[in-house]
Amino acid sequence: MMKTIKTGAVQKRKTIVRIASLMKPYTILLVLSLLLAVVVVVSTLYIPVLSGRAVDDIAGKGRVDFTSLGKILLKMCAVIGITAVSQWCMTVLTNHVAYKVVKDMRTAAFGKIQRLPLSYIDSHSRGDIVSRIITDVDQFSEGLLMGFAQLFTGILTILVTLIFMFRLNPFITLVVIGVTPVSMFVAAFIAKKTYVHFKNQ
Amino acid sequence: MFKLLKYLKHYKKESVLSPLFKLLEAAFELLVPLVMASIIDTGIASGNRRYIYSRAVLLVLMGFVGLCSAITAQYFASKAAAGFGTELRNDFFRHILGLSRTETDRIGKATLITRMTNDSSQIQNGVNMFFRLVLRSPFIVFGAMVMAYFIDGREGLLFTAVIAVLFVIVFFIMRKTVSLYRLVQKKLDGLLRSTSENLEGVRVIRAFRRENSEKESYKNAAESLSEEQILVGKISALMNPLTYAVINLALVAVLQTGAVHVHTGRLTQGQVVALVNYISQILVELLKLANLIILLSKASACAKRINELFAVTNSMSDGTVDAAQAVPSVEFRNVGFTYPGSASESLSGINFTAEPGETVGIIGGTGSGKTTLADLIMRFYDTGRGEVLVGGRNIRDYTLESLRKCVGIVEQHTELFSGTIRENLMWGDSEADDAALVKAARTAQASEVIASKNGTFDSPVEQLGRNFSGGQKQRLSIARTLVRRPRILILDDSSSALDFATDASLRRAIRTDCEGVTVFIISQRVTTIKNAGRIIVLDDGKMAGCGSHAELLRNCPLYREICLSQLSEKEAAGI
Repeated sequence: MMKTIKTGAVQKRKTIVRIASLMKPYTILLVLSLLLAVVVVVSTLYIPVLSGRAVDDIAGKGRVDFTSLGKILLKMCAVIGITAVSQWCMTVLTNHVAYKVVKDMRTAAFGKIQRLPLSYIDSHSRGDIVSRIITDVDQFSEGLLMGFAQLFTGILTILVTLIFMFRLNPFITLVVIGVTPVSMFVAAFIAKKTYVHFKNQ
Repeated sequence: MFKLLKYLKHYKKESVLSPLFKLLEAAFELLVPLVMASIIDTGIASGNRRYIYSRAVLLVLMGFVGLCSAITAQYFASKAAAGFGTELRNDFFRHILGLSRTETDRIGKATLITRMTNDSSQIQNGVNMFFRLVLRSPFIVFGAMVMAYFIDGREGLLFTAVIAVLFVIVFFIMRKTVSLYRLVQKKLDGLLRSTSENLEGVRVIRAFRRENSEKESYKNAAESLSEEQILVGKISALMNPLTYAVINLALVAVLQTGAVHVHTGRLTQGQVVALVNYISQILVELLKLANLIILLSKASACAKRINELFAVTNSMSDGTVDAAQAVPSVEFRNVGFTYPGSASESLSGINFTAEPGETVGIIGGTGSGKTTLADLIMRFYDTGRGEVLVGGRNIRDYTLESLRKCVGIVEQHTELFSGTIRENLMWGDSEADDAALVKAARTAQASEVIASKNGTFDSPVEQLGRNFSGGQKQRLSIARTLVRRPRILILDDSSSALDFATDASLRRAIRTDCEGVTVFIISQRVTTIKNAGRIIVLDDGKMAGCGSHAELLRNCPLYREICLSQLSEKEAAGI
């Protein structure tokens, strides 16, 4: 009955503290994978910048700057290499942390079963306890860790893209920032209408 | 996987429209680089502002229509997939309910739950993504290639080569990971089994102080699972960087050859830009395709496991005779029974006859086979040897429905369901009126339970009846069974949480109120069964004695021993 007495906020804070303590042994790996994520995002986005410059060197018939183009293409090859390697390392690190945290959680939960009063085990369905230890733990790692990794790279990608775009042309960047939410909203609205229309048919 | 497609049959329209809208979106996407090329080559080169603006508006329109069709497609895909999931789960649930305990015991509760929840949602996810990507991704990849040929034959060849290389990479990585993933799944199943076994056998483990060694072996299993997952992860993590590198090196090649062609005048700058755009479209689509393949291979593994369960059929064949008119006598003729998956018999050589209206007590230690005997009368399981007869006829001849209507059981671990007391009692008979409920409650000594909850049948029952004590739950479940007015009543240790006085008045009430009903009372308490006309003493699945209390005291050493451990000599002998 403790659960009902505690307020939601306290519960939430406790959960966060618990998650943090689960992550603690892997802090270095996590920081490393976040750093790699930065490298991946920046170098991934640097490629279009470089290819843009390369296209500028290909101005038209008889107006191709081969020396500058050669330099840019070489640089591109190097950046491609860096991206590929750090992307692989980042994924492997995130996987490592995710699966190890799952393992830790399962082992801890299993240890807890051995200490739980029998009344708990008798009053809770076995299938329920099992699915918490097996399925929910998986969902947790997939949702929280991999989700976090994706969210982090996603936000970073947007930010770095905007920075790159801003350096190219601030006006167009502002237009893009303004138009994106509007277009999403309108598109969603139209899609909903279309759907209702189809449904009525 | 394909077998399960029948659950989409109510969603034919969505299943067709979703990929079609996706295709529409893809077509617009493929046209964008061409418009861009014309802006660069015609508009910017000649400085024609009006041309540039009109093309730009065209681009925005195309993008917008593309976005709308994408969202519409998503809507349909989600709807079809959600409907698919619901129908699959409903059908699966129906299938499970149709199985006998022999099958569900073998499969295990945990497995059933995972199939029902985890596996079915994975498949649902797979269906959703399949609709969204099945037409779109290949269309973009090959469409981009065709567009490249359209711009320049030699560049088209480069595109073809790149796509071929990408397919080889994806194919080999997929093949490797799919087989490794199967191994991971096996280990996960193993972990699930050992979790479930540990819960099942928690008493034994604690009694023998095996907690630490169990923990150790579990830790090792979890460790080896995570190692395996990390290994698969390492290989599948190769996919993105490798395809990325190949595509971008192709980009470098396009820029290099494009530069040469532009220099000689074979290509324009705009066309090179279009080619660059097509290359990056291929990259994006390929990544999506790879993810789709991973998701589908997971989903098809799940579908396979669900299909395995759909293939399990009820081993119990239904009879044809209606048990409603059968005389409520019960006879066991040389019955033997072995639980599925067990090596030795849990019951053997059971012979007895219970006459209509008789009260039969069954006593024995834990694991002596008392509940198994009750389950055989209910035909939750079929006997291994011998036969069980009701009204002089093998119970296999009766239809299961009529047999179970005629035999009422109150199980050892009683469950109430969330709702009201009335709803719970009506499980016994959905047409019972209040008078019948009151009568059943009175016999079951449950009137005071209801009185304590505002005295109304409409008082709420929380999930699993958590707002009732053990004894209250037992009395309510006895009432629930009595509402059905069974002609054979089995009380399987169902008064264990009642005090002696309530237990005694319960038995008295049943005897007076249930005229002509054959009653089986299973208990470990001598006082509960000692007044029964016939008492069966079970010891490790065999009959150690059968007779009245007085007879057994005289000639059954085990019964005597049980009695003396619970009662004084005088109590046992007298009254």
